[in-house]
Amino acid sequence: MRQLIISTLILLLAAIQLQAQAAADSPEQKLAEEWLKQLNALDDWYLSVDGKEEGVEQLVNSMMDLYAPDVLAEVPPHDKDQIGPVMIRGKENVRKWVERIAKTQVRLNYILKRQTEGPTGEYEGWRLIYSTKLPWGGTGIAFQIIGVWSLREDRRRFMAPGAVFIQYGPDGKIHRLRLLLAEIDEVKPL
Amino acid sequence: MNRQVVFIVIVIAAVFVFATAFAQQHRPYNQIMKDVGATFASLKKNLDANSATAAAQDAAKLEGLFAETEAFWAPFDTKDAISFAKRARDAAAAVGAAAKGNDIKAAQESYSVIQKNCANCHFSHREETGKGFLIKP
Repeated sequence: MRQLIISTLILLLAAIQLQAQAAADSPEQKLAEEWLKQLNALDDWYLSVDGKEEGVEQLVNSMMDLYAPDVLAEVPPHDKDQIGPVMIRGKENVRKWVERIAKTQVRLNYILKRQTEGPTGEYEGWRLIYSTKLPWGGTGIAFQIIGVWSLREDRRRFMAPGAVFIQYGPDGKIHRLRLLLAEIDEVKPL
Repeated sequence: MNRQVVFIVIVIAAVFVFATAFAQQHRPYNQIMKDVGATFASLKKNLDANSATAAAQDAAKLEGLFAETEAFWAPFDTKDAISFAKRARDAAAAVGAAAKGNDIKAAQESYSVIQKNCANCHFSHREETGKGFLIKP
């Protein structure tokens, strides 16, 4: 009897594990992870000993490989005088936004929010990616994030809950991006 | 006559451009930091040994080295690094002044201010790779 219970439990755990693996390996999951990985990598560059910025161009290029030439992006305000989101049209303009992040922000740490079924499970469990097939072809994905970054000039650190909506075309490139960041708060040591 | 004036103006302008370009050249940052490390260690040794004259010389050298550090960061939008270098330079000047006045206790206090600024800057802008260090922007 005991053997039967143990065997059943092992089978059950294996099934859960397989299901988890399948969700983590889904193409939509990979798309979301890749976008966040490229965003977080934008501060992985250094100054040379003779004062040259090294590696920033490659990181920006790598991020821009994800976008289609006619991309339309709605991003949070990045100017002190700007109120509300900014609509950016075209890859070259999105590039300027990406470059601005790479050159003015450090310690980037955008993470996917996790969730379990229970009421308190917001920081553990699944990294949920909502996805849909677009009527005109391609895939749309959406996911919740927590964005954390520091300003390069004075190291002030900020944090904001947010959400990302991305539409990929049949070419696999991003045609629309919407990055929402709400309630941006400065993180201060206690 | 006019040709001579034009020639002199061109020569003066060339000298000015050359001098400006030369002034903007920095020593490699790793060399500056190695010199800071060695001078800082020497300063501590001299302060502990109550060698005020030698300590004042080290402090003066550190002042120059932190000015170089500040000049390295100046072209970038990295105000915290510039501030750390400035504060370290001011503290080095204070060490020098105290040492010249034979006030070793005050010099030791200012020494710890230098140490604090070095540590803060390294925390934000130095990344250890195991083989050496990288400069974080």
